Amino acid sequence: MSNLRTRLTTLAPALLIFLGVSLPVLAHHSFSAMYDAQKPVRLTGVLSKVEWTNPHSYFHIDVTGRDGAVTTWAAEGAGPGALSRRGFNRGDIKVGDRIIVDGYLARSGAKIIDARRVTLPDGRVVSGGTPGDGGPDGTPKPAPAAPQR
Amino acid sequence: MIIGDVPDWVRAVHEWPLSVAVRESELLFPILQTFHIFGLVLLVGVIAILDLRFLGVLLRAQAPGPLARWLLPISRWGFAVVFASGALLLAAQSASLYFNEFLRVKLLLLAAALMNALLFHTSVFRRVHEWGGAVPVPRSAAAFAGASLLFWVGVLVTGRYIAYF
Amino acid sequence: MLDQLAELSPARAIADSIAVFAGVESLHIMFIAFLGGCVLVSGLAGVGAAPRGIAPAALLQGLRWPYRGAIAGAAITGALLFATSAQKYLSNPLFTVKLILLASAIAVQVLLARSLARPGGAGWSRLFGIASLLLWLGAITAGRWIGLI
Repeated sequence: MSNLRTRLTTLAPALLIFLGVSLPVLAHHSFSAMYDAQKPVRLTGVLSKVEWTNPHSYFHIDVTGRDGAVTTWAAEGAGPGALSRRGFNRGDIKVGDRIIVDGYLARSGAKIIDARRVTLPDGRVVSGGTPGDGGPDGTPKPAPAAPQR
Repeated sequence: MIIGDVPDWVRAVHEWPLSVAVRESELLFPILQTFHIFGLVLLVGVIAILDLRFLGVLLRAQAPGPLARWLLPISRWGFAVVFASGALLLAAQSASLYFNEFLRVKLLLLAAALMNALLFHTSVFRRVHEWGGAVPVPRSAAAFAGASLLFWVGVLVTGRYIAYF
Repeated sequence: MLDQLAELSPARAIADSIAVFAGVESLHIMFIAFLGGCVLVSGLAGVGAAPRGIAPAALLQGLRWPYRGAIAGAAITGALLFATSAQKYLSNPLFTVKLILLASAIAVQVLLARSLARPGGAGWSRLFGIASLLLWLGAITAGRWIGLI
């Protein structure tokens, strides 16, 4: 038993040092594994569908490109509980509303962003994102109109 | 969000009133998640102690028989809670998680864990009250216990990964 | 400074890895589960709820190091998770609540052990036992809800 204890007390500092050095590597987590912080996107368009659901809400936005073509994007937000606690309620938006959503592009390349910042039709700006996800603080710099891919 | 073509029966489960209620709730979904954790602590935490006893890692002075007789019913309560909460959480997300690989592996590991338990209990475990003191725990029992730990830990890990992929 | 440290880190290759973060989280949950098991089984044995064939004193003694190991494991993995977005966690009131509940749970655990060792401490033991249960469950709940607010 004391042999085990000796082994543990020698191993522990080594383990802690390794972990301590690896720490900054883990300085991005769920957010940046799913979304690219280097690719801010601003979606301006018409809400075509709302999924007020757990574990994530989804806002589907029809974005009209410069050429007139309409692309549907999705913005992923927090669950209904978290959103309502920020004063963002189910009744605040409806299909057909014009909204602006700022976020970052999904790493998968799909037309999905995380809904970091939602500008509602009445002008209010709410945070739509998942709390504590390790994503960038503050507003992403507004990018030009959403890519037309 | 449903991506891809899910089978009709999955879509049906997804649209059950209970599934919709859980999915669109403010509190019910997080509460179910919380009870899911309570249940898994009760199940995995207690089973781990029993399995580690069979593996001879801890409580070596305690005869396994009485320990199993005491702890197994407790672990079954844990299973009831984690399974019930899990079933509701799964129903609520059935269509959106249908293609999730981690969910599929988790369910396979869950089946394996239950099968392992069944095999154990219908075979060598029958003689558990003979072990302890002078009579060592048979190697086969230790093997079942080791497999049990691996499967339940696997269920836990794959379950956690579902949210990220 | 953290950037330079990240450059030095031998684990740089796994930067932004979701697998790593989820792995640390999974370990955190594993340690919590095992901790819960130790606390429950010790608690039941301590208040005399263990059946015949179980020697309570030996059981409590035998679970002492596993309990400590579980706390250490949960604390180390918790510290790693915390480090990924320290600022966000510090500004989340639920994180503070969790830490307070955890510290209280551990303190009550000590009080429980002492009251069990004292002859005539049965009344206190029941009180501490119930308090212990509520505090541990509360800490788990607060921990789960951190990301949901």
